[in-house]
Amino acid sequence: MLPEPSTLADIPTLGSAVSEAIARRYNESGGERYGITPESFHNIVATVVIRYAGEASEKEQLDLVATLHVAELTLARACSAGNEMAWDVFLTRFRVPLYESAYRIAKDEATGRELADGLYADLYGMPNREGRRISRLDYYMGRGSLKGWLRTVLSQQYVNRYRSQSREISLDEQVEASVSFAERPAENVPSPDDRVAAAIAQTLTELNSEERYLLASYYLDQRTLADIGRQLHVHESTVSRKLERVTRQLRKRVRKRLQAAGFHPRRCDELMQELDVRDLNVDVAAALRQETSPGTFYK
Amino acid sequence: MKQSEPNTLRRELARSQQAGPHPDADVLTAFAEDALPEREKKQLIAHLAVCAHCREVLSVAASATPEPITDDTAHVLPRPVHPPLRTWLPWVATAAGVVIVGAAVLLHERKQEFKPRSENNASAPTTATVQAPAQPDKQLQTAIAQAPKPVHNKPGPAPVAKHTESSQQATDAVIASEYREPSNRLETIPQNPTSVAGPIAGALPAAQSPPPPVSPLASSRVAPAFAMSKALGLTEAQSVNAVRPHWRINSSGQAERSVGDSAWQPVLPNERSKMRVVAVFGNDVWVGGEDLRLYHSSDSGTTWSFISLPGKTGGEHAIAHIVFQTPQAGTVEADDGTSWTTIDGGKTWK
Repeated sequence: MLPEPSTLADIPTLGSAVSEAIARRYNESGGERYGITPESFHNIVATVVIRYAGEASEKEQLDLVATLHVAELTLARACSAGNEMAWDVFLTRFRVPLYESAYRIAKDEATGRELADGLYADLYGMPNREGRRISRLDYYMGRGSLKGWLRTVLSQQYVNRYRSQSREISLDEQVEASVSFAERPAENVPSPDDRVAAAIAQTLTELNSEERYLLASYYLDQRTLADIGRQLHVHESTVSRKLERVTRQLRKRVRKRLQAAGFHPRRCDELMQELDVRDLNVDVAAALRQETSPGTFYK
Repeated sequence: MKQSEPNTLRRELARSQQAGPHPDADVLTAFAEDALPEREKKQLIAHLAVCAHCREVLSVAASATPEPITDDTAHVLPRPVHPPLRTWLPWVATAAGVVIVGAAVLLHERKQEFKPRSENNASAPTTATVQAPAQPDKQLQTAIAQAPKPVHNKPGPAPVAKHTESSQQATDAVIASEYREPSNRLETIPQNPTSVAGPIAGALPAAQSPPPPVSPLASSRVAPAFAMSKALGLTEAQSVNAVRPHWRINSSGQAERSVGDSAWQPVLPNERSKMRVVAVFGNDVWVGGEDLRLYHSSDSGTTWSFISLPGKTGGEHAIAHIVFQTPQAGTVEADDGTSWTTIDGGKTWK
């Protein structure tokens, strides 16, 4: 069950400059077509501003107001309010993209249709305890395009659905699927790996978030450089250069830490050289179990 | 480090994956569309670094994106719809401009090249009688003698006959016109070959008899390559390439010439100084070498004249460069940097 979106009564007041900026965007929102008054429009946008930039400076609030997709925001609110004309517009513009996105995500027509139908029902809304219908469109805040938001929501549902299903697979099914069950290695047995692992863990904490994101996307999620580049809006060659720099620095710092831990420089070199080969014996699955495993959601 | 192999780094990265509350779909969408302000972007990347779930959602959503840019997101990612065309259009326009300018320059140069030759042609018969006849080139004579003579039905006026004073001079002039290089023929030879064939047929001796001696200046306007090509029955393009004289300075410093497949023959056998450079411009050949020795032939090496450069004795210097922009205008440069320029085919130097 989705939590109910904040009500208009919760909205604190905004500065006059922000309110004026919101008022200036009313005409392009097309709210008049769906019976949304300027006051209602102000409240809708103010809710978004407070939610994402309530504590931010006035400039950031103005920037947020300027970048909102106000036309799609009013359409979403009008749909959730049950406006027939708004639903006609929504179905005309977004129904086909919604189902196409679902097919692309599921890579299977039946699953894709099921996924899209489920979201479509959520968008139409379910009555809550008080009898008020809560539509998923109430959660659209206009920060990105409505098409993009629908894709993201579909992706979230797909990831959650697949994960929940994978947890429910029985032992028999796993045996039938020839899943092998390796003996878990003892977790607290000291070994030379631990000192290397400690050095790596300590070094990882020194990296900034983007560097860790690159490492996690590349080594944990097995993403391609092109995928990572698309997400960061940079060219894949840029990602490659950054990754190379990060791993080089990482090795350098780990080696330094190992030396500080008392390893002879020659032994450090050996450890660093043997790192990949020796780590083939490390049980990575146990470490990756907490969130997801690479390639889980790709068929 | 291989991406696919398990290792300590991956294990430690996985251990660090302890994310807090997930960002909502709006923030993820704005990130995917590059519409997040920098502050929020940093926060989200910090979350993504430790949240495999959100990374997965973003990746799945990206895989479902049908087209890179839609009208709805055009203002978010303002990129040109047809970047290749817009990018290449200025370059194509520039290239077209360069080609046009280059063609204009080439045409202009060709025009300049033709002018002095036409003047020479006009004055050739009168000056030809003044100069002593030179020894004709044996190879060229043979080629001309063996050339099949065309059959002419209609005699026509010779285009240069009015400049001649005697039948012999007229013959020389007509031969000069007939055997001029292809580039010059367009100016002097009428389109209808029979119009110039009549006097030739009358003036030329029988096919078996040797050709009349060719005066130096007349022969300067004769293109031996073209003459030989006619004799061999080759097409114009083939013949020019096949029998055009080749030039070289051999290892002993002698200037040598080879016509067609014939052996290399020294063209200045009595010259003791070593030659260094040879420059060819049509029928004009310039050879320079040590002691500032400079020779010029205006008939593709049949006859040679020594050119004395003013203001400097040979000494230890040698001619290092010879460059002619037209048959009349060029520059000769010595190895010490001294240069001489002529605009009258080597008669005067500055």
